Amino acid sequence: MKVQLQQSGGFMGALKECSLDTDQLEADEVQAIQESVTNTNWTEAEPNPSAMRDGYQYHVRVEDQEQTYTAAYTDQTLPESLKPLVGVLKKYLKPKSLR
Amino acid sequence: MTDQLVQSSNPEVRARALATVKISSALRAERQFSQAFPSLRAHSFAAEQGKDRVIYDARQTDRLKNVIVRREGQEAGNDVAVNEAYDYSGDTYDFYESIFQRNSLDDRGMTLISAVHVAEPDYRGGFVPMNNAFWNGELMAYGDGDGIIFNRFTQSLDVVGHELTHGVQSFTSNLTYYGQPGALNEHFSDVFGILIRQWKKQEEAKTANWTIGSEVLVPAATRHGIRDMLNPGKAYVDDPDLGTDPQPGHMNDLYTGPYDNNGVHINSGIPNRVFALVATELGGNAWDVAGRIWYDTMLQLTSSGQFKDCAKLTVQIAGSQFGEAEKKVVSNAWKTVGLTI
Ligand SMILES: [Zn+2]
Repeated sequence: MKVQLQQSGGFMGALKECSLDTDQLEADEVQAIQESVTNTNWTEAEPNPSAMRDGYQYHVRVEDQEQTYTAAYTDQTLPESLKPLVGVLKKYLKPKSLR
Repeated sequence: MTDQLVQSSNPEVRARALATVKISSALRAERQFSQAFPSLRAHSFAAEQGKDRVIYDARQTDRLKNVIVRREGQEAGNDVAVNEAYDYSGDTYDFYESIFQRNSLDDRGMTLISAVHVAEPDYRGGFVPMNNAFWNGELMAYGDGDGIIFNRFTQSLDVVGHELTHGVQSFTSNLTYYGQPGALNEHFSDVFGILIRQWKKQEEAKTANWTIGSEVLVPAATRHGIRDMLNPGKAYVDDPDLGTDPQPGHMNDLYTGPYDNNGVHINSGIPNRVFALVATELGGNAWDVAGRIWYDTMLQLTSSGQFKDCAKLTVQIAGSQFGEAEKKVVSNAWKTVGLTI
């Protein structure tokens, strides 16, 4: 399974990204990701006109043998079910140029 | 106008417009009420308070209102983050009060609430320290940082002032947090964040520090802060952990992509540079003239304000409140970044 997380915003405002194959990860990390993918209802979250300032935005992409899931969230719309996946991938984020 | 916005296809614009309608109706109702019961209205004014701070300790969880650890007037304890949140939110209150006669975020003595030691969930059901600070519409939340790249976010007075200014803006222009209005929202938070710092340290504009978040970053040769208002794009360069500061300093380099709400923390570099240029060109204390022009602009802009609207207002206010010389300095600075009025 291929997984990608792009994180932007936050006080810093910079873009960070990680793109990897779950083969490269530890067993407990892979399990956390698989549970996230299964438990998430992959319909696009309603844009949330929130009062939050300096929160993060997340663009998530998961590719398994059957299909590709993509969705965008903020700190306030990120579903509980996806927090483990984001929690794993956050450790691997690297700076990415915006242009 | 608000009616049109209520119909807007952009959900954020629509929600804001609806909120405006609600606030307007509430104000109308309050006016009618106070005309009917003037003594009660006077009483509610008397209930307004001055500086009032509350600090919560999230205790390394994401529960922002976990435990209250300090209230207004209580002695400092041993927790540095608690003391910084308390002292710096106090400095921010004092700055707005003494320079702009503003009584807290809402100008009615609203309590300043901070949450420190805020953490993020990890994948094992635990938490990791948050590398961020944010305003959630009600309170300021500060992470402790990972200690490798980021220190605790309470450590920079300008970061605390930045977050609280998001609160001030929610009661004033309430610039929509997307695209150019969002970049202006970020810009005003940086402007008043840095002014609070310069005022506290009594630094004159020409020799002042114009860097946001210097203390938040663990020092390294490739970084000196999170944003550099005088030199956007130079706060960190080729840093192994941070990359290169993406802020433009000219309209030719305006970011138009999808990330960061269409670049709210990125394009703020353009008006930030204008403010720093104006303040250093005018000399003296940045909060005296440039700060006053920008404060009035922040109050007068509408939620959909673009860079051009901000430019026009600052030039106009500089001329009407100060004079031709100041007006010229402001319009020249906007010209330097590619915006001609
Ligand atoms: Zn901000």
